[in-house]
Amino acid sequence: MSLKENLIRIFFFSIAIVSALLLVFILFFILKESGAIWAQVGIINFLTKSTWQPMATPPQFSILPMLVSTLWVAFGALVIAIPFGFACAIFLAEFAPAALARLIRPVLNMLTGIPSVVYGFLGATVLIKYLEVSFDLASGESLFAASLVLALMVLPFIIANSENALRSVAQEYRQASIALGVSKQYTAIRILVPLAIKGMLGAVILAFGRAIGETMAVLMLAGNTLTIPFSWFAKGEPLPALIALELGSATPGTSHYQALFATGFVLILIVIMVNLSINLFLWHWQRGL
Amino acid sequence: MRLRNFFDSLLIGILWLSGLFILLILLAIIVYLVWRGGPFVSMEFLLTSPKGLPLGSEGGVFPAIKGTLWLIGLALAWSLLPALATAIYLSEYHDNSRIATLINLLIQSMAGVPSIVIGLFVYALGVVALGWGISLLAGSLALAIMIFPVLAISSRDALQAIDQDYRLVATSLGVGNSYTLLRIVLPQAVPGILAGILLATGYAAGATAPIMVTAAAIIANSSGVLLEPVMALPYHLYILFNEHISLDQAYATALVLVGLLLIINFLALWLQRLSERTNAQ
Amino acid sequence: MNAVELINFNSQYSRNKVLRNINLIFAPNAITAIIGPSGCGKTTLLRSINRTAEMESSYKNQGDIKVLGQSVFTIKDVSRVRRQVGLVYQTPIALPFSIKENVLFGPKYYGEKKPANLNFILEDCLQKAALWDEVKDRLDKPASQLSGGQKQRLAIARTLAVKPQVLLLDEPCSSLDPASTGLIEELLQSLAHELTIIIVTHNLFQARRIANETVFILDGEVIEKGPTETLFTSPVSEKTKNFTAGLFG
Repeated sequence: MSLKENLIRIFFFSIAIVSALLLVFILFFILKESGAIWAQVGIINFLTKSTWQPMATPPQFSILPMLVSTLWVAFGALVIAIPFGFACAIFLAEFAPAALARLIRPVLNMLTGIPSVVYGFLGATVLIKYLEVSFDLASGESLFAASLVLALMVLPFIIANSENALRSVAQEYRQASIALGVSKQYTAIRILVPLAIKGMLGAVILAFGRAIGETMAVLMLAGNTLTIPFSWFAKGEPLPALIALELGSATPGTSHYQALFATGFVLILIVIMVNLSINLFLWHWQRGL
Repeated sequence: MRLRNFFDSLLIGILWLSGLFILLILLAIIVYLVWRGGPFVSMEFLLTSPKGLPLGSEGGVFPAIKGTLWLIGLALAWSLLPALATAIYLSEYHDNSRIATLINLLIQSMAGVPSIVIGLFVYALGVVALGWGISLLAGSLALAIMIFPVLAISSRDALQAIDQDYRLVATSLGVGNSYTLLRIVLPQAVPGILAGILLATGYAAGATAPIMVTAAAIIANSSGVLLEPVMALPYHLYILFNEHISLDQAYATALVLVGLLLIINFLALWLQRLSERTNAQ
Repeated sequence: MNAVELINFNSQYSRNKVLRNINLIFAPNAITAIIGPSGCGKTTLLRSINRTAEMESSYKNQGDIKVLGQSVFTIKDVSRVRRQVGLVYQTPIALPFSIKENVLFGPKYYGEKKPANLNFILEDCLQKAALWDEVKDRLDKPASQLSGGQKQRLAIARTLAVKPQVLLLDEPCSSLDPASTGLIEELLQSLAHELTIIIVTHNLFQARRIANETVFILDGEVIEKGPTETLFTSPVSEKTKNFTAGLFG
């Protein structure tokens, strides 16, 4: 290779590696900003005690309530979105008339394109009002409301990726099954879904990562109380909402400020672990495991 | 057998309903926003500043539109070239596949980082440590980091979708990689790359969490000064609702925002189709 | 001087040996056909000569290949080797340009700017590739509109435009109809007056129709090489006989 081509190669390579290492830098920077809080509170206390009171003397920092809220909201969203998402994916991959599928796919894209603040806003003005009126609640804000709207937000991801998984099942299986006189529905449920299930689970993990990191919708719907939720219909405050609400009022360098960065670090670790697990998962899958 | 037939019919019914429900959701969102917000959207709403007491209960969203455009424009300016260069490396120059795999993995992980964490990072680095304060500069940087992986991944895929045979032919004529890239691969990939840019633009336009901690203000002129706070449509919507300023104005703002994003999305889809057609030739 | 010479040449992908101890001499200004069953290493042999096999990262080789007396491995700038030794692929590939830009892609890269020279190259190469008469009125039309046979001749014209001394063809007619195949065979025979042509073919009739010499390769080894008529009518090796017997039965 000529010198010029080599220089060009090195140019692109350096930009790529620097850009990719930005993630590592972000991680370290956030860890650095959280500074002394880890030693001051202790990792175990930080994760497992139930009080977050930055204004108390001495202030108390523990994110267990928010951690529970986060996981509850995200799992709740999956419980709602999975049956519906899988059904829709099967419909698109196997049963929908071509013209209808061509209409639904861009619609999924557009649903992804609607920003979370709009989902949160509509959830708060329509869904929560509805919950309040029909169940005679003083306030409809709850983890459940957040889960419901979050389910709607991750649905397009689950559908699009599950449909891909279903479509990548070889055509022969369908033909072999249909040739036996078995119905298309039975084929889809008993043959295609088991073959595609790993890809469909990959889609679910991806959606889980999204749901955990989502800020605006949960901020507007979950009710924002700092206690441990003991029911799906209780209020809570997921981690991203905590950061968004308190960052502006925390003075840099104080333990409150550091605790928020520690929270951010925990959040990013969870998401990266989810992400790595899906990569490992897909990697094993592609190797035919 | 009768039972089997019953289940088959039941299943197909459920599947159809779930498919149609998706259409219904989008339709419901749009119709509801138009119904509640439509009457309040006018040229005046688009072209004047928030007025009234509390501020925002009357008047329009002009500074928020301007601010959103500034944020998107600058975010693209910061991230487009690095993202393209990364995509080109990953698609055209990755001799050492281990490092390329690592870079791919890092960028994929970056795509999963919650936007509030990016806001947190830029807040600490830009707003506090570098002393920019809540500003257009900090907000656009947060959005740039947020859309970087989207741009890099979509451009990489657009480049990789270009027929491998073109590269083979060029190489066997002794033509260098960079010339092939410039003359054949990049021009062919342009529609795909543009579609990715539009998707990233939409993503940035709707993002609220990262800018609410780095850039957004309840009122600002948004005239493009880097070290001043700006207004932005999604944050404005949040404030109108959350501070109980005006629900009508909030619906109108949501309608404007969703309208803008649907237009961007339509364009992106159209370009995607276009690029698929060119590649199929 | 020999046009192309392989000396104790071995190559492999990862641990998988593809070519073993090849010693071959290709005569200048002649057509040599390489025949053999699928997977015997014909294509790798071809791609080794202009060093495009190296693009596969698992590829390794030992031994030497000389083109016009100079070892291709001592030339620092690979692009010079590839320019000297043109390669036409099995599937006809039209670059996403006009017909004209397809032919001039190489010359423009190598710095030719004068319109008069470019026009001369364009007509000359398309004439040699027997395509000029069919396309002279639509040179600015996209090359993707051409038929398969026309695209393959365009590929030959595009290769000729960078003035190679050796032309390699990898089963160039395998996806073409008999009429197009006939045209290409004719043009190869006329090109052989000024070029060394090495053609890999699975079509034994084709080898017999156009090649001055034929090489038979089996499992990565050269079994036999000789004048085409001799190799087909009175082969030395039993293996050659069995393989070419396909011709008659």
